Amino acid sequence: MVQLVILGSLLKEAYKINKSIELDEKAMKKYGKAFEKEKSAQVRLEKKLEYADKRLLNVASKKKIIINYTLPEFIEVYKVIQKIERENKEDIAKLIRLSDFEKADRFALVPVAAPKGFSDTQLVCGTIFYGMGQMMIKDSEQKLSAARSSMSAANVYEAQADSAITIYDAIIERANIIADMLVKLNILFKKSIEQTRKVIEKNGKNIHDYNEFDTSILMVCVNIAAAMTEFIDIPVIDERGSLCKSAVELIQKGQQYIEKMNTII
Amino acid sequence: MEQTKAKFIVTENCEACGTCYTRYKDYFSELEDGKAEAKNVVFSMAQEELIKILEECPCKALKSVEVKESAKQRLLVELEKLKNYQMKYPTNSQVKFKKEEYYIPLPYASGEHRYDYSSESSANSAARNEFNQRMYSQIDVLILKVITEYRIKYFKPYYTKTEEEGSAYLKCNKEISDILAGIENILKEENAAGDISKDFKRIEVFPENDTTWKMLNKGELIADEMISSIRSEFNSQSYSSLSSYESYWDTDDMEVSVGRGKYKDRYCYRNLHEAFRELASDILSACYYKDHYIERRGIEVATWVIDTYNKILKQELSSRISYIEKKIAQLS
Repeated sequence: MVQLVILGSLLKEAYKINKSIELDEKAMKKYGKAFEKEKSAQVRLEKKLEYADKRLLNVASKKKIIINYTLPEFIEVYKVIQKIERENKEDIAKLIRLSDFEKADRFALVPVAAPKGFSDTQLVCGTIFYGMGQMMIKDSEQKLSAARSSMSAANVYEAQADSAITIYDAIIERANIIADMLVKLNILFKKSIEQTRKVIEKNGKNIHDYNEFDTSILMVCVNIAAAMTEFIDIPVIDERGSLCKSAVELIQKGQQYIEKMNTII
Repeated sequence: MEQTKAKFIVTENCEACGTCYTRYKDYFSELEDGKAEAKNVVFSMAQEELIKILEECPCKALKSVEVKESAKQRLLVELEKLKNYQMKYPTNSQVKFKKEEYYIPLPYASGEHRYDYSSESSANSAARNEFNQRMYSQIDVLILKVITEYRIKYFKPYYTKTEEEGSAYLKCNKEISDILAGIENILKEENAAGDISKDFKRIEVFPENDTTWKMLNKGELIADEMISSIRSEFNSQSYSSLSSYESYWDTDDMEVSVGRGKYKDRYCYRNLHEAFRELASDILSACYYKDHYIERRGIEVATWVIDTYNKILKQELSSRISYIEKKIAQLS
């Protein structure tokens, strides 16, 4: 009888130990999943940030190209246009809006813009990790409970990372639109500068030697330069890292402008 | 007008102006950083037109290379590439375990600075309990954290299909697609691509049904098995016992009023975070001492799944290879 009681107690203990091991294994699995979830979200976020960085620098590259290569070419032809303007002020004023000249003047003075490193802006949402404070556990059940908490924390982190990724996607999309627009504007601008150069070579500096078509070429070139002053400064994100709402209107305007000018040039 | 048979090259001078891939989409594509990449396309073009394209680049980054080989010769070269293509295995240096890349969060010691204990030994005992509860009893979990992070960082590309998780298969699939696109272009040049399948250059091979892929996805193979090995490493060190961390915290005493003008010495513990920090460092060191084991195991597991990929890829390419061989025979 005593032996049976002892055997019963032993079996009960063995069952408890077994149960505890099972719970421990479950807890470790849960922890593993939580760590995986969190790290995966972090890696995705890092990769997205890296990509967003590249796409933003791409916008900066497009601007630099305009400033470093196209602008000096424009300045060359613009100097000649200014001479034509000075010598024939009244005549050319009839043809080219003076406000465009003012803008073009400013554009010719644009300094080379240093690209802003996106990594420097603190866009990444704060890391949430509830740490090991959750691990106040004494037995397997508590371990499992802590593992579950860790999982909740990982879920929170993952959700935050996903939100940040959505924001980056929007930034990337905006950067791509602006970069594409700048490339197209630059192509237009270069084409217009080339045409202007040819017209000036042909006609010299006397406005009376220019026919209507020739003067329209000069006008378009100055007009594009004036438009450039507006479009080259379209911001992708503001200083706080948010998408600039004001840029939407400018982008639409820019795209319409490219369409319109493509039919002219 | 004399035609030149050539292909474009984009040099390091490229500053990402975007003119070439915006204007000449057939010959150039855009890289992630906005720079240009020449497509693997051989074209016949009038010299003047070719020069015009080259001169449109403001950075003078475009060049053209005359292609003298026949279509058949070029096809043979591309076919060899296709036949020999294999996904590369990760090397030790690529998956190096660097302990500075991992962070073990330190718990907060809530019981510090409480002058609740009647003796120094009872304050020490309370500190030991808190240290054990908060961190020492969690060593396996913390090792699991480090190993899981290592696995995700270096081996996730071998069991994911998504670009945002850096799928290694997507990269290889793209490389093969590019080779196939080049072959398609050569066949088109020779007017021999009439019967080509519209999926000819589409490669979507993923070894997702492989057992290793599935196990990796469940956190097995690179995580679970390593914990005991790293734990043994940790335990084998002279500093690994719970008592050896006692030297990192200390106790303090002060006289506390117990009423009726009487005072008693009461004790507290403090600086437990030093012990937490030391333990975190020791755990990372134990992982670091097992770096060869961790890396070897990771590479071994990645090799299994890469082998499966290469096998499926070979099957996937076999019909295309036969098709190309047939075309080459027809060309001669």
